[in-house]
Amino acid sequence: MQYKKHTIGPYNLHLIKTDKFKTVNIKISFRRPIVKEEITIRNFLCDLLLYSTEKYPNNRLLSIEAENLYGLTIINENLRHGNYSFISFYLSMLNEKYTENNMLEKSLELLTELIFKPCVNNGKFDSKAFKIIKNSIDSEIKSIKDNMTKYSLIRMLEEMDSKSPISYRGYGYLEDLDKLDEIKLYKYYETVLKSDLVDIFVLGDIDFIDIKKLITSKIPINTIKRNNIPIFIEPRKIRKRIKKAGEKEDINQSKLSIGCTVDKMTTNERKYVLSLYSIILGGPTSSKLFSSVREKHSMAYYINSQAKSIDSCLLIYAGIDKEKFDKTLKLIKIEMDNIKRGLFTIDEMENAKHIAISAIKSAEDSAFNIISSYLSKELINGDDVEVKIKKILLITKDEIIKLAKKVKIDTVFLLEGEKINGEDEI
Amino acid sequence: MEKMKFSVIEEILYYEKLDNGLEVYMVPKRNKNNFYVTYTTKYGSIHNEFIPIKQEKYKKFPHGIAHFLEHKMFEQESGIDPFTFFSRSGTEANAGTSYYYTTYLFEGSKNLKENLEYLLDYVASPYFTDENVAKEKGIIEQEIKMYDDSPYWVLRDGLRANMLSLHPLKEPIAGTINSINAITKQDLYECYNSFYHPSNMILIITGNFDEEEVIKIIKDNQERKAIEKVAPIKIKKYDEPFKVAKEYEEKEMIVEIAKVALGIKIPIEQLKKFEPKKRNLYLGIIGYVLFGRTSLFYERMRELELLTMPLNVSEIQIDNYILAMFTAETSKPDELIEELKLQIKNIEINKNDFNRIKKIFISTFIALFDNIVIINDKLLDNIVNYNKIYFDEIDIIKSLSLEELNELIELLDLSNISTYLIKSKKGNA
Repeated sequence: MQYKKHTIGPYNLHLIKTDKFKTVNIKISFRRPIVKEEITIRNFLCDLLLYSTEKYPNNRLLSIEAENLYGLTIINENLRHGNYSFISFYLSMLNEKYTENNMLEKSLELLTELIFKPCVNNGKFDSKAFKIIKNSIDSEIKSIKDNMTKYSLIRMLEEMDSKSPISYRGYGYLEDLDKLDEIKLYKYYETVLKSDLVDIFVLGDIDFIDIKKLITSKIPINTIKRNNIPIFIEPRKIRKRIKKAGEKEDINQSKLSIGCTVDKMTTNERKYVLSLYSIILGGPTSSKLFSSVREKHSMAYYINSQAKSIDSCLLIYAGIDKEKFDKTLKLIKIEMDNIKRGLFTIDEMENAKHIAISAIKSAEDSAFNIISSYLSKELINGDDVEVKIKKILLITKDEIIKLAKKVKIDTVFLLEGEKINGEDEI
Repeated sequence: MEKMKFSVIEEILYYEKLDNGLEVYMVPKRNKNNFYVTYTTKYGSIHNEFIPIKQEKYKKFPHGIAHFLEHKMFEQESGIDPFTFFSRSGTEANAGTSYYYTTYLFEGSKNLKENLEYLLDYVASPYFTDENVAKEKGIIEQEIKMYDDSPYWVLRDGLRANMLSLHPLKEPIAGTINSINAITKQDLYECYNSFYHPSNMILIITGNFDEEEVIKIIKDNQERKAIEKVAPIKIKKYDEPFKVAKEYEEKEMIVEIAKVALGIKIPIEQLKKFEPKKRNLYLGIIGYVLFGRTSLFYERMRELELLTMPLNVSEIQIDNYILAMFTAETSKPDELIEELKLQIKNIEINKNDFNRIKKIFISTFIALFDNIVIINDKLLDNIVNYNKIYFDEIDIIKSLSLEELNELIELLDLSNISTYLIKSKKGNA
């Protein structure tokens, strides 16, 4: 695999040459510092651009064109990483050798048309498209309770710190949706093209010189911008006492969510040690929480932790019966304490390292993940694969204990099920 | 060892059936980092009434037992659980139970030999005790409660239950809290001994490995095990009636926007002149033209605000029927159900759509060979659903004709419909 980065000025172009895949993959990513009130409009824009273009004024015609180009797929993403909000478009197409000549150029044209030549009349987006996308965003926002585990986590983060980006709802907010119209959206679109930072990635069996020529000729972005705020979110001030909050819902199983702050990490801790800690505590099936809460006490089907290193926090979540709330919390505290006191074996640590390394290697088998890892290299000054593996292998037990002492439970949230236990409705 | 090539794409499959009946399929992809190994028994949630090995009468087991058994294979007499074993080399392990089969798997890039031997060994070593069976009930109870809180899960289980009268596919894979509480250690051993025999199992390996080395590891391992020959297990057949058991049902849950499921129970007797793979490809084309992203239907439903996303489509085959199931989220459920029913009454497919869809079926098939997990799934799907591997799938797609499709449409009976609706019950918030 060969990698080359061109700093064009208005955007960075990342080229990755590999013969591992039968596809060519292109990602165009826009980012700017996140503002809570902009989440909804960015989400809207992201979906609207994928809906139609000037040449293909509705989604059906656009999708037919994509199918004619041998079923290329274009997906979009609207995500937060730390202090930044990202809008991305990801194209995946078969390498020309399986289809016909010129397909790369034609496919890229469709992608750029979608981003840069939307269906616009007199300075506003097409009203029909606007109405359709508005309806779908409205549904997405309203469906937040379809997944109660996620809902419990979101509510917990809001209790933890409603002012911090960590608690922002990814789909946005109904009150912001109601304020939008076709003109506001178009004006916002223009600011995205002017001021968002842009990265473009191309991965596949490509020719570096040809593809650079092709991309620079098709991408009409020409303002140069500067990166201004750090991506990392500062750790929250440590609370004197754990905050407890909850809600009741008519559900079968209570969903427990715990938010921990991780205080002042070093670069190495942020990049590597926190994720090892999380694997030992609540990672895949060999973790401490899994062994204790599930296997030993038979109280949960799932219990996991998740490291959010860019956000300086760690999440823990489980589905339990509400009567088991106190006991579960106690067991979780015991396991966190055990790691702090060094009560874990070298085996447990080595296993965690293998799991972390294996995830890095697995990512190399997927085009989408390789691109994501180059993006993260760009954002957080991430290391190359070999360096990552080397640094993980060097981590010591003391380093994990030191990190464990920085992890503090901040907020505990229980989405409480109100149904009678053991009730069998089927 | 047989060596076979997939047409058009340069991919090779190695196959061998061992003396004890175990079938091994291998697709090496040496430019990947990982290997992906699945070990599957053709025993799933629907096989709950059969003549257990060395017995003479049909016996009925509690629903959810195949899934319960899958959980219990992770309990080993040695005290070392498989997850811990695999994690020592950073290998991800898992297992899953579906209607037709149960699969144990791992994915990693290190220690293939040890991990493969261990997989074959632990799945061959059941260890059920009264205590560990009792403990698992608490865990699976929580798993079932988790599904019961998921609207789409309830929707699909509800629809399947209403489409069928006799066939055990109507039951949830995990069973119910009552049914799993009836499971005993003895039941588990009877099911295990009946279905976890190598002659009922399939091993599929995809990714970065050497086929000669791997087949040797497998053979050496299997030769060390004393395995007696057994006759195939007799599984109860059901004379499932044509009519759906219940045409409509609704349920209230904590959802803001209603969820709708529509299922069609399609008899396949009148379609038997079509080769099964071809038949299913044609049905796929019909579904796509009627409801897909490029259908006029979807465009109109979006404009009318009846849909915000394409319908989710799935299909399962039982003895004489295909169950085609469509699910969607909608704020106007009654109107959507009417539109869906109308849409399937009038199937017309033009040449442009037909040719375009053939083209994307081919591209999709080629692209799937980039992913070792999807290749593995595809092989398993071929074996379980068709009992053969289609090396010529691309040629089959190319050979599809509009005339033949129209002939199939003429014979297709889509009259037998059941719908399930999840309505909004407002929460406390």
